[in-house]
Amino acid sequence: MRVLAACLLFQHRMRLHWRIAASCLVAAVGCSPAHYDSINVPFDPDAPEVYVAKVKNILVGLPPTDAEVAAVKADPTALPGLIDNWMATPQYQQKMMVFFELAFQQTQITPTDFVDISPPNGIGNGDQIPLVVQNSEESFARTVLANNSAGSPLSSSFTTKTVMLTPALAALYAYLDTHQADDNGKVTDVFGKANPKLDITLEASGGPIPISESLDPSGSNYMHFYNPTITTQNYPQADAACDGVDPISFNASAQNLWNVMYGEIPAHTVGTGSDATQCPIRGGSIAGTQFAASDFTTWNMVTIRQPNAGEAITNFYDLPTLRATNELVLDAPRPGFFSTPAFQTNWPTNSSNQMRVTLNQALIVATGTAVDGLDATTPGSTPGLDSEHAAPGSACFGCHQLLDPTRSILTKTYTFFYNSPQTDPAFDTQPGLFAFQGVVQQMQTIDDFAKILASHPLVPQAWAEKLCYYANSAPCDPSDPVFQQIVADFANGFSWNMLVRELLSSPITTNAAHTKTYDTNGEVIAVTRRDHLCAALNNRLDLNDICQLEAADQTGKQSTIAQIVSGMPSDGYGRGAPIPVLPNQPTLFYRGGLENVCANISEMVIDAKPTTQQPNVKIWSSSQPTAAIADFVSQIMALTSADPRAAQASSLLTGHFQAAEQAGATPTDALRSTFVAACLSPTFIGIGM
Amino acid sequence: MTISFNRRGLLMSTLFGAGYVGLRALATGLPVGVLLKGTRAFADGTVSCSDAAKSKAQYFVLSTCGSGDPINANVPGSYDIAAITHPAPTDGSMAPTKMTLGGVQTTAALPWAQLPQSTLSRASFWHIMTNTPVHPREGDVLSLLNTTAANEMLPSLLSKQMAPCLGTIQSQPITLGATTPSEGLKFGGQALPIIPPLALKATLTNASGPLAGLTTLQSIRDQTLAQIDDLYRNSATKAQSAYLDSLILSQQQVRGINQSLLDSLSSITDNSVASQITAAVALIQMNVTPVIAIHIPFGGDNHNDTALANEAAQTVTGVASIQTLMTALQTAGLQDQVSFLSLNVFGRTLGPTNTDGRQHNPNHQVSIAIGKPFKSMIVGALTPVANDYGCMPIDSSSGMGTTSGDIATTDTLASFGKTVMAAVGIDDTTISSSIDGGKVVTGVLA
Repeated sequence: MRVLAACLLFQHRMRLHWRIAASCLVAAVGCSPAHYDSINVPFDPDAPEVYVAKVKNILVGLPPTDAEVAAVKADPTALPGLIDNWMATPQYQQKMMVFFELAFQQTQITPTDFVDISPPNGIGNGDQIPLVVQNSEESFARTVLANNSAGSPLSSSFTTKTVMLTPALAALYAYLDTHQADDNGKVTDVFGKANPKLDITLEASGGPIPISESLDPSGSNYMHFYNPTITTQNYPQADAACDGVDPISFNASAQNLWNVMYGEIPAHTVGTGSDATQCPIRGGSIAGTQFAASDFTTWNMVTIRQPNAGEAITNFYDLPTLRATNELVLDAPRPGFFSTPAFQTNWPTNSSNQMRVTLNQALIVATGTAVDGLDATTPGSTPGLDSEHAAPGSACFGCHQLLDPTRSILTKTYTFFYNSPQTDPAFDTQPGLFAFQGVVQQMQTIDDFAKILASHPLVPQAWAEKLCYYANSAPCDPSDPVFQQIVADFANGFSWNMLVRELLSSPITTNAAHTKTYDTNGEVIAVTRRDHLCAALNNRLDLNDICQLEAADQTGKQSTIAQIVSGMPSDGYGRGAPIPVLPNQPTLFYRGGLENVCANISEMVIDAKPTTQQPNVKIWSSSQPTAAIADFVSQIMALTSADPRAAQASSLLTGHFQAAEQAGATPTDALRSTFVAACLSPTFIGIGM
Repeated sequence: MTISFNRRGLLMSTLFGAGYVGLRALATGLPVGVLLKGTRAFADGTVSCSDAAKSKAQYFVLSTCGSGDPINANVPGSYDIAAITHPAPTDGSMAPTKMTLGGVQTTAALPWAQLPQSTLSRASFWHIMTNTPVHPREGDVLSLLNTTAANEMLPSLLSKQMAPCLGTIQSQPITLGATTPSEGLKFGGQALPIIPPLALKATLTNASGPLAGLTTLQSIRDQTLAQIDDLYRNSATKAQSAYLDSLILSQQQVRGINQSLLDSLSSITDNSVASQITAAVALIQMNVTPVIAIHIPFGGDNHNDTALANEAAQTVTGVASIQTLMTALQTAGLQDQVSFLSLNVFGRTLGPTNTDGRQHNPNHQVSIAIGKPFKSMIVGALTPVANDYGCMPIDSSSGMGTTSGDIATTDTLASFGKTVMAAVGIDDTTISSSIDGGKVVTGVLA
């Protein structure tokens, strides 16, 4: 045991140098594998070829270069420097964006889910609605990335009121603030109330109307919008009188105006008196939209603040202003990750739940821990405690005594549809008391809640663990001295990039030296889950979103590849679950699906031509199989030329190409099949191989 | 290389020799010796297929949802208490209707009463409790509130036990319909992926059209892949070696798929319930797995449901979906080999105040079991509990709900699991070691 303690102490002291190989460890303090055997934990270290490829793949989805592997072989402490280089690439930004979207639980939403925060009809079904939904999923992750790049601590993102928005997303924020709903879903249309006699007119025959004219109250085109599709509309379910009418007018509610912006044609009436005909809403097409494509792709940091006395909130329809502004004035406060439309849509609440799910998910995101009835924290008082669960000692009391006081600050701030300030006296005077995992503090505002979350002592470990799951498909052992040191370092400044550098270069990730986490988990080899797989395909083959994960790429028919990856193991999270759900094992569906993914890609990269969708795709010619196979080995299989496996891999692929041709296959099919073999190699479809 | 080939040859002969016994060993986790010796049970918990299980083995299609749908509000047995609220749409589609189950007259919403006799004659409606009002405990409920050994989920217990009996390609269950990761299944502690029908179709269908040539080269490519696996194995750690074994197994499982049966997937164009049913039946025909999980909505998390309209509409479509499954099984000649089960995280409150929505009910959830091993009957009963209604204790011999029942209300969930295991011939020792608590309800066994 003393030797083991010495080993651990050595590792602890060598935390900045743990890239040293296991042999170095042995030489330094006399720890040998036999010592680990003595505690029944045989240890197999990974070689630099393996772990450099693993770390680079996780961070940027690319294979290592000869020079990178050679550098780590020569000096294991070179790995952190390589990680720094990789973190400076756009591929790292892309991968971290996906990570933060999941980690802050801003995903797993669809356009129809918005009905839960914008009753009764949600945000419509225009062709561009999926784009703004994707904007909302990405927004907070982009915010965190921007803050990281600026050197801000990760914890600052928990409290920030300055977020990355597109003009379209800024419009959504402002619309939600205008189309307010009380706890019962009763809508107050702030815009409609302010403009009770205003009509909106859609017209086509007069030609395009600049948005500036549509929004100019002094002009003749005020609230007149161009939509060329009205002339071709048919209303088979209504009277023919509705067909192709130009212009059409209807009352100016916030919802109608929002729909108009997305090219929808709201319900309206044509004719008058006894000839009046009711025409139903029609879906929105891009031809009728008021948004430019850039409104969904131009990101800016925008500060959201509440209005000063007498100040109006930002008009959601004022696109010229939204494109230029770096400030939104909204009634509903929007601090941190838990008040974004994406988070709120992801975790809707209601009169029964009363923000408990919102709170629990916010706690899970921030601290990695849920209210589970095991928390021994004593709140002292229980403001907001539901009377049905107020009996001490009852089955529900253990959770509710913490949940209810803490969620009170949410019910005090928002209605159950989130985007409206709470006015119900039963809630809006309810003081909040944060009581969770040893922290008990009074709260007066939602900002207090955000600050307490950001400073909660569980935050450093929680976020280090999220990275453990991402990198190693398994948790780090909280009692691992190596992990504890990483957490301690992260807690000292909350530098995300430093956390990435330390954890990804530590033996917990590289498996270059023995750790307590290894004792707990063994070495975890996992399937290349969907996000890692798609990133690797995109980045190694210069493909544009080959998995069609982006909303902009989902407008047409779903490709076979997209269909397959929708069923592949992915990084997900569930309601109330503090740990992510990570399928790690290969199944017949994984193997079969990947084979078909690789086959479909082979058609794009072998003897093919660039397409509109994939203009930069890497293409190999079957007339030059040697060069192609060399690339397959280095780029797909991620085996550098110095890797002992590379030459044999090249030989095997060459043999396959020749055997395929001898079997009668065309050179194209032979090279495609060779590509598929490389694509199904263990290093491409397994993390840690 | 030579050594690698030898190692590989040894592995392959072990895996695929003697009637795929090695493959079966990997798939089921059973020692090869166990499989070679035939039907035996062992003290360490691993089992082969007993004679009883062989004759009674069933595939299962399980509908489960974490939203806690109000199935419990409108099934047979939920109309015995007048104060219970039911939706009453003006079209009469949910009208209380008399019906007979196992010769006993009862009442249910019209869709249930309209099910064909062939379905009702083997349908049991279990009035039980899951003892939780919390959505995220869906996984715990599937693990019968953590009464199972190693927290294995009921569908995984069944899948593991039935795989050697049915000779399925894999022993893990498959999730087709989970709407969130919370509804996903685990097997041996490992999360399983959710594979929607469209993904399943695209995954299992061999490349065709311009890529047909790749399918032709499949066997040559498999040889190369085997050599590549061996190449990696030469320098692999133990964990990496184990991963390579998993890859080899998964590859052989893929090749075990009967491509001629994939035509039945061609009609799948979406991930709807109908498509889930189509996919489930196809997977059974292909003998891929013993247990397939789908998601049939019955009203969802209906806290706010004016006049219970959504509950009514989805009860109509939900019952129709169950019958669609039954019809598909009959068409495929599988009606005696497949049972349908339902198990949700909880039921809903039932009392008179629930006219425009229902709350979570930890004290009452209705599971449905339809299949050859089950009698047509209502298991358990409702009774006032707290401010609403909950299940009664159950008499294990008759299945009736009674205050003197020998199955306590809190054991009804485990009893449901035990009874399903008994229904397919799993021996008492295995059942007892798999599920702690509850009793087999012998009265419902056909």
